[in-house]
Amino acid sequence: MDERAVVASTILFSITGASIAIGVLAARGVKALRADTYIVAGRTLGTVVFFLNTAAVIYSGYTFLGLSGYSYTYGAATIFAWGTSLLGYSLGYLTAPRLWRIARDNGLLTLSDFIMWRYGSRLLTIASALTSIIFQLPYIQLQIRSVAIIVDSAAYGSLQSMHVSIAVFALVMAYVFMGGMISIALTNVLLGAIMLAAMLGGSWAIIIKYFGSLGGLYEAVERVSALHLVMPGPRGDRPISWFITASLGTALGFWCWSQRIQSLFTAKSSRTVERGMVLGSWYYVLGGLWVTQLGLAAIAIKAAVGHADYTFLRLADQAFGPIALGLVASGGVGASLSTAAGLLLDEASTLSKNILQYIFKDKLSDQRLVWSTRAMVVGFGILGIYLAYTSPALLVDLLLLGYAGVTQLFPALFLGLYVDLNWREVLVGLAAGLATVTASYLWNLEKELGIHSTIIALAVNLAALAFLRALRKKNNKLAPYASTDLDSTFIE
Amino acid sequence: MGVVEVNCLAIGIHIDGFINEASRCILVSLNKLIVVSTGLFNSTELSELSKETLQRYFKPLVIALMFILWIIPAPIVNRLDLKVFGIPLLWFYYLALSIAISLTLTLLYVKSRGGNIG
Repeated sequence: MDERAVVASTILFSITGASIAIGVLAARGVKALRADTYIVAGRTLGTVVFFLNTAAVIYSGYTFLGLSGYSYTYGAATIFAWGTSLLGYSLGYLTAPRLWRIARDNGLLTLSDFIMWRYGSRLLTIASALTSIIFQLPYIQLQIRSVAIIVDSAAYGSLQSMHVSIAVFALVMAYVFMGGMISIALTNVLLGAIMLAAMLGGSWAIIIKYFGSLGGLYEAVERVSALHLVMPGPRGDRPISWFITASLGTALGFWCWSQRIQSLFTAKSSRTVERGMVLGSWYYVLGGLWVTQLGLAAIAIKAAVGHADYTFLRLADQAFGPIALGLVASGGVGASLSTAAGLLLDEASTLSKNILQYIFKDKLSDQRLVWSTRAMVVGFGILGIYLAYTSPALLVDLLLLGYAGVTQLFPALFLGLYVDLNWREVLVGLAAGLATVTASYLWNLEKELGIHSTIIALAVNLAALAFLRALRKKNNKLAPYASTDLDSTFIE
Repeated sequence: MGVVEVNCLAIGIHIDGFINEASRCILVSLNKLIVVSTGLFNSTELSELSKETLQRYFKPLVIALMFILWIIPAPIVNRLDLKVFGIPLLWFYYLALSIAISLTLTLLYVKSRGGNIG
């Protein structure tokens, strides 16, 4: 291992080690562990911890590495990702405080808990739980692969990056196992702060060094590859129709990820949730907008990035050497590990609470629920590791498939807050949407139609739901809307 | 309608009240349109309706406006020949809109707290 690799790796492993130590120490501080303490930190998080924890859970290796990689490959169409977050936070500002109040008043811990409370159907709850679990699985694998990419860059290829990544992931699994959401949240305060510093500082330092200003960057890109600055992009496969539907579809799906809803439930008040939405939007404006520019920067200076997902790391190294590389790599590993931790806990708690609990006919005690969730944390961790070894793929492509899948929960989650839907309509819509996601993937409908698959599937989902609802209204045979709790909750 | 237009164009308006005013303008204009076309309400009823509708739909309306501003102008700003501060119009528009969305959420929060942060 040469000197540069030692410097960058030392910084990376020091910061990663510190964050894991926080997770373990936080777990040791928790004495009597109840299910709500383990899964949603007892709904005790204040504004700063809540906002940094949520941001760290949401922004992953995809934001950190994938955005610059995507703009390097597809150019201007990457702007859709800004819409995903910012319109997503706007939607969250409108609806998340209500969701939080419902969760607090009814002791809900997972997204599927909400589905059970709202529709009273075990079948729909299990369908929603399985949808979350299946479509989030690639996302765990994604984080392990992101860490491997980062370790590989920081060690200049001198370490077995996948093995190191698995070892780090196993340590994360250990602190999630011990402390649950409390360990995740306290670790994520450090990781969230490092991520923001790396995205904002790293991006601007590179832009200023090479181009002097943002305008200078675009002028340089225009000279090398003007097609990167407009749609449909350098490959010609990201037309305006794709951009619009991708922005809309992924913004609607932003809060349909089960682990994001779970992180919402950790806030100590609905005001905390509102503040979290506002601060979250600024977090993205300060970080995500600028890291996207780095793909363009790599194009402009004709940097040899190798794989597109290496763009940010290669530029940091090329511009400022191994110390900068170590710091940026720490931010990247933080982004991946914080998301992986949140995913592990969410998948495990959803399986325990919304599927196993029903199999055991609601006889799992609070303590047993905690222990079954812990066992599932280990189980999902091992499954994620297996997939990371066996299914390598581009980061963003995997994410987009997951997005299309979980967004099919949008009618159940958000329309269900305002519209008198019953479980049969939602279930049929969900099934139709998921079938369309599969068909879209198999026949590459997204490319054929120039429309993002999330929107294609959501349109089919909503059409099926609306048809059945209209039929019910007409025939008045199915059970009418009956949730009086919901009505009283929403009268403000 | 004249009052509505004056309100819309008023320059020295307090920033906290800006979103409120803009939304009111849109809602009142829409209601007037409905009234004119249907002849259902007189002006007093219209005023009551506007106030109530505004209170109920203020936040959703602002959020919907953000979605519209993100989606509708995309084909218009997708051009390389126009630049602002050396930044292509497409990129400048979405950078500015992103910051504007965060600012709007901040103002909505401050407004909901009666002007006090915290």
